[in-house]
Amino acid sequence: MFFLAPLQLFWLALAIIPLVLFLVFRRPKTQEISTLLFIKQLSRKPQESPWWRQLKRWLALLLSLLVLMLATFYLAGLSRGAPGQDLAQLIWVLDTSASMTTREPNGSTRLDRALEILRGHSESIPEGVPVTILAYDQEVRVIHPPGYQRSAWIRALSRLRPRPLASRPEWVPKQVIDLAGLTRPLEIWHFSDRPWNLSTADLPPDVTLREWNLRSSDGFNAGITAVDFLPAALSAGEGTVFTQVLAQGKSDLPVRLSLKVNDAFVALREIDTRQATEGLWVSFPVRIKEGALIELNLEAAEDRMSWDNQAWLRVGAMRPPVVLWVAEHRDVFMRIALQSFGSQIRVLLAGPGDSIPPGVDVVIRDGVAPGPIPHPRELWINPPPDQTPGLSAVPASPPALAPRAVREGDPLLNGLAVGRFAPFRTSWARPDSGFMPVLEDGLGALIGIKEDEGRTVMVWTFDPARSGPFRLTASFPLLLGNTLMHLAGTGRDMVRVERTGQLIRADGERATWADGTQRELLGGWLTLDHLGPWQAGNTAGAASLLSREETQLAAGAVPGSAEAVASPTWTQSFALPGTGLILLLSLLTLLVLESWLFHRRAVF
Amino acid sequence: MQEDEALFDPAFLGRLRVLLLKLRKRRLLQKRGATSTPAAGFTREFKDHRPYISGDDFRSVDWRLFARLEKLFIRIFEEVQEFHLHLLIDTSMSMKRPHPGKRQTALRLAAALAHLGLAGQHRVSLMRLGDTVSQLHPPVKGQGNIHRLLSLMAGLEFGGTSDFETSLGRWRADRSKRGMVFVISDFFGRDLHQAERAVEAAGRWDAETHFVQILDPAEINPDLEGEWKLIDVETGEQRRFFLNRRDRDRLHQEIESYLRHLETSALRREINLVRWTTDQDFEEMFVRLLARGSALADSG
Repeated sequence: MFFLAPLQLFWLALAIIPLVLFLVFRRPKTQEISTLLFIKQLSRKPQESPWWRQLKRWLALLLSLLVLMLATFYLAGLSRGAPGQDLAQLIWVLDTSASMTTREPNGSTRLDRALEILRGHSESIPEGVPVTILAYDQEVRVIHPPGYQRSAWIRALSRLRPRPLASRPEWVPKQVIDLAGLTRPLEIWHFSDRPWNLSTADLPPDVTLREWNLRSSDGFNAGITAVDFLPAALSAGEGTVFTQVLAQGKSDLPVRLSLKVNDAFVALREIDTRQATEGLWVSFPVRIKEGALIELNLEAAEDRMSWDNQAWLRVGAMRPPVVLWVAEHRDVFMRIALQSFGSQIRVLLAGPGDSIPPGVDVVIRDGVAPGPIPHPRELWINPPPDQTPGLSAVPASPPALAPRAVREGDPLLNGLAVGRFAPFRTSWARPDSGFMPVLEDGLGALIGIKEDEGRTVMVWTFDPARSGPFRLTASFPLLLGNTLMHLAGTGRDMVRVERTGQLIRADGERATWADGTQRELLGGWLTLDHLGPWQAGNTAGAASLLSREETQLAAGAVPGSAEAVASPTWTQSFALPGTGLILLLSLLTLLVLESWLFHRRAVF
Repeated sequence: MQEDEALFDPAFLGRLRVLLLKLRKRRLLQKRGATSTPAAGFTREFKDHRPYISGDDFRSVDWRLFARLEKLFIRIFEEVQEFHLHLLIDTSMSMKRPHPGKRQTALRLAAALAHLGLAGQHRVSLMRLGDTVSQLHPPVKGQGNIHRLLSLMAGLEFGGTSDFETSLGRWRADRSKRGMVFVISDFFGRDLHQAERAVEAAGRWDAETHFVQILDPAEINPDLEGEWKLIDVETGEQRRFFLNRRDRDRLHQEIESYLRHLETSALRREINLVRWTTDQDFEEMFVRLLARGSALADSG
């Protein structure tokens, strides 16, 4: 047994009052009376013997002291168990990412549940232990600096709101421990739907981690996890909107996906949720103009999170991308393919040793090794494996497997007849190279893409010139056009896919969203922490969640992740919340007992 | 004895004489004989004549008047009644403590009544009322005995309890006790029904009965708010009470209810019950007592 607020024990000094009353003032006035008959008539209580009266007097004193003691113990926070370690600090870490808005069957969100748990436990925190409240999604924020006031904790918690951002838990624990590690021993309470699952070895000494897994065991959620727009390589003003829908959990009801351009309804698709468990690409051919706003809406019954049901694309200036073609020997079919794009792509020529002029969107390195000065967006076509990082020469007898698309409906392979494609492989990407396969055979990526530190590199590990009639078919300029448009699209203003949490360069002093939300720009940079189309000066955009992780987390348990983590239980090193209730009940019982014993009749 | 001296001090005796003069004056104004009654008797006192009717006693015929008027008239004489005044004084402890004024009032009232009775040539008996009724002396007559009675009263010991039911139930107002009975008490018995049963017993007496209930104002409206240790002066019983304002009011209501009930009970049995609080003017109360149908008021 220990006290959470031992200072409150000073109230025990009030015991002096009943003691003084008992010793000094409880002397009744004595008076002779002609007859007791009338007073006896008032009190029908049997005559009490002197010893019983004396006993009752002592009992009254005892009960008064007990009442005072219990009230003081309640104020002082009498608690069972041991006070635990001599904690120097307690840190509450709350996940405020998008998945924490997932509504549970009882109607409350996961963040609500976390706040409810914390409010319930806040009364049992020992006095003298400072509490720090941190929240995280893409960044760690200090919601409440170390403080001792319970009311301040509760106020800070009540101000806490989830944000439509994906969380990045991989570096949050370290940052939390670094933030708070100066004061030890400390205890970290983590509330999230994605436990950190750190072992004791991962934690510094004197740091205890307690986790509440707020993810429930079942439920359904569908969301948009990716969106892109690919201009038609050979047709100006036309293009295809690609979007990926992910549906997790059990539901037999179809999901409806609709597309609007400038708020005008364009298309509607019904998606079978069973096909979207791993992500289903859906494409919409559209005609767009500069400044158009493309909006995707997902409608699903029993959906548990709403923030992933919408995605937006803002079409910027229709500027043709500038492509620098670096090669020693320029292939005629390649030249024809590039010329076929007409005014949609502007092509510059350069040799392997030439510098890259400014204004280039994509660099094509055709049969040459990567240059010493990398460009943010490069396409490597048949690079020499011995001079290219991450590539190796093809082994003597490579496995003979037909090429296949890794993801059905991949926008990069749009229009490509994969079945009639017979690539001649000249190198292969090693597993440590970081290239994610888009088209693969038995030896790995034939077409691979790598994003590393803001740089996007796409590689073709085959020689188009020796790949049968590939160069003679329409697939070749289509694949080249898709690749160039994809690489250029991420780097130019034409179509910008904006995810919440990104930093965007914008004009003006503040950005205003369609629902009236405003955010100040800091040094011309805007942090996208709100969903929907926004406008800042002459800059416009639209932020979407687009997080596969958050959409998955909002659904039911995923084998191997959430189910594997049992809901942790607090080991009760602090007080049990029920102690206060027991004290209050005892207090009430004593008061009733005293009233019944001594005051049930006015006369005794 | 200082208390007793104060009881019958010269001032009180002087006031008593004045009181008797007032009563005599009132009687004269009523133009009636002090002891006369409507009935005709055989005393020497001539009262009136009436025509002779057959069957009348010839010895009563006024022959002188017959000689003058030649008509027969009968002489009528006054019948003088002699009362026996019984004074029963409650000598229980509650008449003395905690309010000594009750004892003083009771004894002064008894003295006044005795004086009035003796002055009217009635026989007066003084009795103490406790657990039993005991006569303190043989019946006396004549004004000269007043000092003897006063002396007896002054020496009267108060103490013990009172049992009205037993004492008044056994005391029979037999033939020798016919006359007038004054019971002077607070009528606080061993239980709340004793006094009522005493009234019931007194209702069977042949005598004209007066109950004088001597009370202290504090007994009717006790100021007992708070915690008290109360001692019953008769039984010595001690009890602790805690009374709030509401209980105090209820107590007052209980006492009032008891007193009213007792008055109603007495009235039903044609017994005159007078509530006499010690803060009231003695003379005024005494006159009021006699005015309430007492034949004693016309004597003396």
